Amino acid sequence: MRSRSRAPLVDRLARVAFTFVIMNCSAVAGLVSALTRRKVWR
Amino acid sequence: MRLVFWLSTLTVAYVYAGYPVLLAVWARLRPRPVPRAAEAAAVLPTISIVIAARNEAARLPARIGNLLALDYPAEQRQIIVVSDGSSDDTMAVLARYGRQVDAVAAVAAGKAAALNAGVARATGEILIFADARQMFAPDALRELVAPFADPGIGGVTGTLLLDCEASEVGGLRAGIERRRTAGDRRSRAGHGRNRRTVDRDRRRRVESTIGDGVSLYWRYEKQLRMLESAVGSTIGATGAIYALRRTLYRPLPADTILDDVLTPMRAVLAGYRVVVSEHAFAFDRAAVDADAERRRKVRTLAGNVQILGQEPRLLVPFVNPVWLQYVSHKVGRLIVPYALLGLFAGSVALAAEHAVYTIALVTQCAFYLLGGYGAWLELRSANVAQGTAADPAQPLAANGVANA
Repeated sequence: MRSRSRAPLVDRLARVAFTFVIMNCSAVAGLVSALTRRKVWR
Repeated sequence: MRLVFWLSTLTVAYVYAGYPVLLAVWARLRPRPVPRAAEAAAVLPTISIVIAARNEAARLPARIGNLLALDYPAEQRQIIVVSDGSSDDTMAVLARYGRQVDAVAAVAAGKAAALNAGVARATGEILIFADARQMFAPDALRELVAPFADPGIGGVTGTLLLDCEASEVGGLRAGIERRRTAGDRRSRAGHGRNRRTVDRDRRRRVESTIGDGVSLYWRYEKQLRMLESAVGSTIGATGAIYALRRTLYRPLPADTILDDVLTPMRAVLAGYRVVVSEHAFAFDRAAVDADAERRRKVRTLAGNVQILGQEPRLLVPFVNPVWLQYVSHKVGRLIVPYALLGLFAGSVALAAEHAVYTIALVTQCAFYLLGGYGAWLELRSANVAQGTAADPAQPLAANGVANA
C-alpha cells in the first residue's frame, strides 16, 4: 500500500514528466503540421 | 557520438535552465521598469476591446457582463465582438446589448480574419484583444493600459491565471465568480446542448490530472516572460489578454495561427517594447485533458514555425532587437525534442564507455518511466471522469479548483 504522504509527490512528478513528454511530442507534430500546412486551428 | 551527446545536453540545459538564469542575472543588473496603474498618467486612453467568436452564444453573456462591469469609463471603452461565421445564436445574443457592443457578422474565415475585421471597426487608441471564454479581473483594463504611459512601449500582455493555480486564483476570482453565477445560470437555461457541453467539460476538468504539469509549466513560462519583459521585451503575448497601440496593428494573414505572437513581435520589430503587466489578470481553465493540451501545444508550436515564414526578420540579429531572447525561447523549444533524441541515442551508444553516460541513460529511462506513469494516471482519471459524467446525480464542482 502506498504511503499517503509520499504518493502525491510521486504523482505530481509523474504528471510533470508526462506534460514535458507531451510538449516535446507536440513540438514535432507542430513542425509536421506547419510543413504540411495541415489545419490546426479552426 | 560524444559530440551529439554533449551538444544535445547543452541545448536542453541552456533552453530550460541556462537561459532563465541568464535572464535573471540580466534583469538584476539592467532592469527596465514598467509603469503601473498608480504611477501612470491620470488621463486614461480610449480603448477598443476586440473579441473574435464563433458559436459562442452560451459564453458571451457572461463575458460581456464581465467587460461591462470592469473598472474603466464607459465613454472611453468600445467593445467589438466579431462573429466568425457563427451558426448559433451569437448575433442574437449580441443584439441584446444594443449600442454597448459593436457586433460584426463576418463570414467564417478564421480568427485572424475576424480580428482584422474587428480592428477595422476600432476607434480607440489602444486595442485590447480577448477571447470569449476568459474573464478579466475588475482592474485589468487600467493595469493593462498603464504601461502605455511610456511612449516606447507598443504592446502589453496581461497575466493569465489557470484554475489549476488554485492558490493564486482563489481570492482573485472568487468575486468574479459570484457576480457571474446568476448571469451564467440565466444565459445557459435556454441552451440545452451548450449547457451539456459546458457541464461535461467541467466534470472532466475536475478529474483531470494534467493540470499539475500544465500549472508548473505555465508558471515557469510566465516567469520567463516577466524576466524578458524586465530586460526589454517579452516574446509574444497571452491571447486571452493583451493590448497594442492601434497605430502598430498590421492586418494579419488569414491563415495566422498565433496572432498573439505575430502581432506583438511586429511591434518589437518596429522598435517598440512589449511588456508584461503582472497585475492585469485574466482567468482561464487548464485544458480538460491530455489530448486537449496536446492539441493546444501542437497548435502553438505549429504557429511558432509558421511565424518564422511570416517574419523571417525575427531570425536576423540586429534587425530583431530581441533576437537572443527569441532564439533562446521560441526557437529553442522547437529544437529541444531533437536534442532529447540525440541525448538518448548518445547515452545508449556511450553507456558502456563511461559512468557519466550510464548515469545519463539511467536518469532518462527513469524520467520517461515516470512520464509513462503520468500517462497511466491521466488515463485512469479520464476513465473516472467518464464514469462521473455518466452519473447525473454527481455535483458539478467536486472540489475547489474548478470553481476557484
